[in-house]
Amino acid sequence: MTAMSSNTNETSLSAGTQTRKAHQLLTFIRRGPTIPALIIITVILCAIFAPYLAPHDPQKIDPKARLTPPAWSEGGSGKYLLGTDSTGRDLLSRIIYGARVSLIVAVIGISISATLGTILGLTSGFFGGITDMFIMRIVDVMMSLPVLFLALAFASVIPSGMYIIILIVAFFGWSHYTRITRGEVLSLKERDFVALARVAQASQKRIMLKHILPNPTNTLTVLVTLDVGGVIMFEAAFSFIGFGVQPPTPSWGNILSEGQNYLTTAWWIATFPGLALMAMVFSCNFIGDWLRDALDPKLRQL
Amino acid sequence: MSDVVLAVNKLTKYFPVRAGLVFDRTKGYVKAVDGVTFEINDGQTFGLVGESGCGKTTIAKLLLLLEPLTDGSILFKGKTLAEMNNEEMREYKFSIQAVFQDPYSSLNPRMRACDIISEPMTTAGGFTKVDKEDRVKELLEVVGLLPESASMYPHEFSGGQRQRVAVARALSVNPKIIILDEPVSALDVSFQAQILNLLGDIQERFGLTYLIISHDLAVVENISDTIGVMYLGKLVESAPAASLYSEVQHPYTRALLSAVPIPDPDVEVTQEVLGGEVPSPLNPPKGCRCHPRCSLKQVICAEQEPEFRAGHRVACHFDTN
Repeated sequence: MTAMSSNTNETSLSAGTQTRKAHQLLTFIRRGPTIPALIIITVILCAIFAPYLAPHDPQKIDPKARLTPPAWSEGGSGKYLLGTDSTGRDLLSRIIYGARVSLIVAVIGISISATLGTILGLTSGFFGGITDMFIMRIVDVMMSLPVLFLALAFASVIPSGMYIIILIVAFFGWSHYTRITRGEVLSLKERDFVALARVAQASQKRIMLKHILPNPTNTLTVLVTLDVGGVIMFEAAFSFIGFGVQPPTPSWGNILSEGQNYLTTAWWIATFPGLALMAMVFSCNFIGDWLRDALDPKLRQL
Repeated sequence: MSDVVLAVNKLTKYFPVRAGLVFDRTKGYVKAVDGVTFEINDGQTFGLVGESGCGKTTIAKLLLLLEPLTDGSILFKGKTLAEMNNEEMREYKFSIQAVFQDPYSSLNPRMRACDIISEPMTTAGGFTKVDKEDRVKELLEVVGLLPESASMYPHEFSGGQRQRVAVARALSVNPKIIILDEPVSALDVSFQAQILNLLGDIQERFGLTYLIISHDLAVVENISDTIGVMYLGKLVESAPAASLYSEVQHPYTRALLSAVPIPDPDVEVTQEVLGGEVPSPLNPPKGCRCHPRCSLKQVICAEQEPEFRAGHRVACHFDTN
């Protein structure tokens, strides 16, 4: 009797724990951008493990299976989950491999532009005077340039490919970082803790690296996250008009571009890479917005 | 009489005012500090009072070498800074530390308390990690914080606690002189007394010399041995704390003192209110700087600048006592 009652007790207890766990999970999901984070993680994993995840070789032509619709629609085949393109290449595999291009461009391009921009902004704001004027005038010039137009001019002179896009992203992207960093540095260097660091005989280098540089990192992190979406978009647009990643190497942009010719007959070719692109850019922006609030030390105190 | 540890002689700082659309031209100078002379004895506290914009903080910045001097000299242990060699200069720099007004701005939000406190030791060099940790622990105890606070970030402290961290930092390299620039004016009244008591205890314990800058006469009165009253970049009166309050001589000081509220509703207030506003330091009045607002004004005041008189030193043409 006692054994039985304790048994029922346990079951109800574990049921209670389960609902509590479910509730906790729900609050966790609500608290942060869980879904965008999952999407980004999925894309990153796809990019890294593409050879293992892709069911087919993304460049292998299967003429017999041209324009196969997705598996769930009429005429679809289980072999090609998202269907095939005009030469019978597997769309899913191409999208998985395409994630590589997008991420490599975003990661390398933004690393270069953010680092360069931050260093220039720090120098500009910290030293001021002629250095500041010189760097800021270059920034003004950079910001007034029509990026897409110049990028096209670039790409028509130098052989196109992924590296040219990285170069363009790095070359045109740094000016925002410089402006934002400089602005923050200008206000930070007047703060009392910088004066006190001087009183403590800290070197210029120490003041720059230990006292000033760590402070704008929040803003810069947000900027980077928001930039990732933009750069992925830019890469797609660039590949779409045919200057970026050259076929047969798949990129979301050039799959879209190929798909537009078949939009009426084979909707899936342009739709799925487009969805992938949209989900990724959306997620980056969501994460960026969330980070802006999460990293704000004033909000964090509460 | 104890030795003079820090003195300033005719300390002067002019800030150029530039204007012009394309080419900057110096249009004039803000005479922030104009020929200030005083000395501080070893182990004593010199209080500097005056209203906003009279040059108190500029003096602190000049002493901390955050701004270059326009003219005059700073003497440390009887030697001007200009005469010092590198070794002596280094000694001066580490002998003088500061606590600033706003504890929300004076601690780097990205550094832990232990790193903030031990930073002067890091830059001075010659201390091991263990040395620093021990010193931080010791200093936290001195300023009345828990040893656990060493690993906390500034935003985890209250205003009063932050100011304690700032004090601990100033103490870390065993300085001789600490410049306290409005150390309590950003704090709650209840914390002000705590911090002032703490500063008093520390001074006694480590034999420190203070230069305390404040606009609050009550704060300065409590803690200072000697008080200097500034007006528009000049020292108008300087005297031992006791005698300044009992035998006010300068009309400006009198007005300043009468503005201190008395916490007793039965006391009849006889306030002397200064008319007009503080003249611009860009173009200070000729003669005595106080004359446009002074009740004792005579012709001489507008023409001739009064000299500092000996003893209870005052810069006024009249013996008002």
